[in-house]
Amino acid sequence: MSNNPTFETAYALLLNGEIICEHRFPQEFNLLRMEDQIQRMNVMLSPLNRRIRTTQDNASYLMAYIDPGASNARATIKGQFSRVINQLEPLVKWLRLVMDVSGSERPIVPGEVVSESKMQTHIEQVPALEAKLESLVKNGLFSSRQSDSKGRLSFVMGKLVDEGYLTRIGSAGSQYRATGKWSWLYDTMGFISVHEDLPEPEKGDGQMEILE
Amino acid sequence: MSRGKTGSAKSALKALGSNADEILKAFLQDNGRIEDIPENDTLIHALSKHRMVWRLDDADSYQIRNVVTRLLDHITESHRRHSAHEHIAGQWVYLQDRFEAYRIAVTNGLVEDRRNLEDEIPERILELIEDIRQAATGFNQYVTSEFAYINNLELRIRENDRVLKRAHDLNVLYESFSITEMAQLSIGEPFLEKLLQKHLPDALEKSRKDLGHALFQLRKLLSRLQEEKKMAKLLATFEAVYANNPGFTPDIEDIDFARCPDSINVSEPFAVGGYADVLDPDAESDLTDLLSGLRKERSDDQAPDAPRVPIDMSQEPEREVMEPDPIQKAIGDLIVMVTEEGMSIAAKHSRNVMELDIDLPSWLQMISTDISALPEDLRQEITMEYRGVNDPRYPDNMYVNDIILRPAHAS
Repeated sequence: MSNNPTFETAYALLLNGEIICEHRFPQEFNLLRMEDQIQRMNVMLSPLNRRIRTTQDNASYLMAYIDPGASNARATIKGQFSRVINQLEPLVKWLRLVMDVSGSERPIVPGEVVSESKMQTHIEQVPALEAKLESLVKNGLFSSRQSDSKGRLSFVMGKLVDEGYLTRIGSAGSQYRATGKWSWLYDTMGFISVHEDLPEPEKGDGQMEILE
Repeated sequence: MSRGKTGSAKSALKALGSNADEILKAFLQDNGRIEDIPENDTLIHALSKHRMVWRLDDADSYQIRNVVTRLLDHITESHRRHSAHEHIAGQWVYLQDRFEAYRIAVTNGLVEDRRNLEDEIPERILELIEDIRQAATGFNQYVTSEFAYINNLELRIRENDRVLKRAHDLNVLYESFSITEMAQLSIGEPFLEKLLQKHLPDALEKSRKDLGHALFQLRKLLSRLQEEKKMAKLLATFEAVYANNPGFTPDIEDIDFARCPDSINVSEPFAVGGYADVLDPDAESDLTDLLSGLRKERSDDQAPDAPRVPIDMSQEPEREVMEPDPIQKAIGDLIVMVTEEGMSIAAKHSRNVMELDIDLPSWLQMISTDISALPEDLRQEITMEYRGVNDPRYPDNMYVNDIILRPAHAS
């Protein structure tokens, strides 16, 4: 079989634990959209108790266990879950901040463009948003000692790039695109919501106030 | 026809007549589907008797057979046309009247009336064609705008739903124009044949395609909006949970991992390790580059910090009193306890005792950062001992879960 560099990089990315989406790894994503390529890769991953799975919206591919009941698999899944739990609250706060800034009624979706400069302008004009940003960087995932909004926002965006939630557009670094990792996060949130039987918020709950 | 056959046909027509309302409802509103529920038992029994319904297996609903559907298609045409799009339907009704008038004029040799109608009818048909085209392309604006002019997601979904229904109704209207009907209305007149059998069907076909595309896009958009609504709800749920239950930490201890849901099934990355061949000059050169980029350990002979010089401000501006950060204050207290009172303190325990509103990772990180940032002489008075678990793949990394602070002389 002839060598396919895209197949090679896709395989390496998956082994490395990356989430492959069209916005971050377009070539590899297009390759994985072909069923035969998935099958080839699954054949190679199978002896390692691994397989490829997609997020519910089919926006991303990632590596999962064939037998999640195996002892090492169980430990890893628990570990990965704990890691998400530790990051979830700040990520939820960030999603709300973006919604408040953009005036959108729904959280960010893969492929959406986020402009740091536009966000910064909005945040600097509205003290409530500035306070939200300040609260966001107080501790946890986005913990930062930056003293001004610009520095704080820049730190948060950089952190989201590091964590694979955003990817930079162009070289200026002020424009970002949301990646398929959000799909994975929403899937996890959906699972938690069902598993923990979380109550639905009452209608009319002002989400703007909730996190104050 | 034998008496037996006539009796059976009559009985079939009676069955249709006595169940007319239910049959029409199933045909017009449910694509000919009849649910297999107790309320429909009589209807199903009556239609089954004359083989006017079918189903593949017992689990399916019944479906009205094509023979009946064709009859219903024919007899409900005007109703469907009318309820679908009243303006176009109205134009068509008017045109039908003109066709009839034209037929009478031709039959009776009414030359003047015939000429007038030959002028009027093409104009009306062209108007109808234009309206049919516009009605179909009108939906494109909704597809393009994606209802962005409505801010509220709920209202956007409702509007999408409404437009979708209208597009569906229009599609029903277009379907109701039949080739046979056009041929009959043409009554062999070349100018009518051209309009009714060429231009009108062409316009209908083109509009049907446009409408089909719009319907597809509107359905896709509706499904996306509903998905977005679900996500917004999910986010609001988590916000409410974090607001009402600070420190909310779900766990998955009770999960049956053999049937672990896909949403949390994420495997561990494989470490791709590399080993340098120290006998290879190229590898040695690479190692040298790597080494030069490594972080330098802090040496003791580093130049001391420059002494701080107070700034004299004769005209001091108005002072702004800021509340001390309770976390910073707590860390300051810990430092005093260790350096001045010689106590050994576990950071995790102290957080619980002091009832601080901060999560453990941030607390540990702040202690580590603050103590590292102390002036050198004070920093040397405190020993920080990190407790935690080493990463199985990268043993040099540790997942810290506690820090023990001790006076330097005690360690």
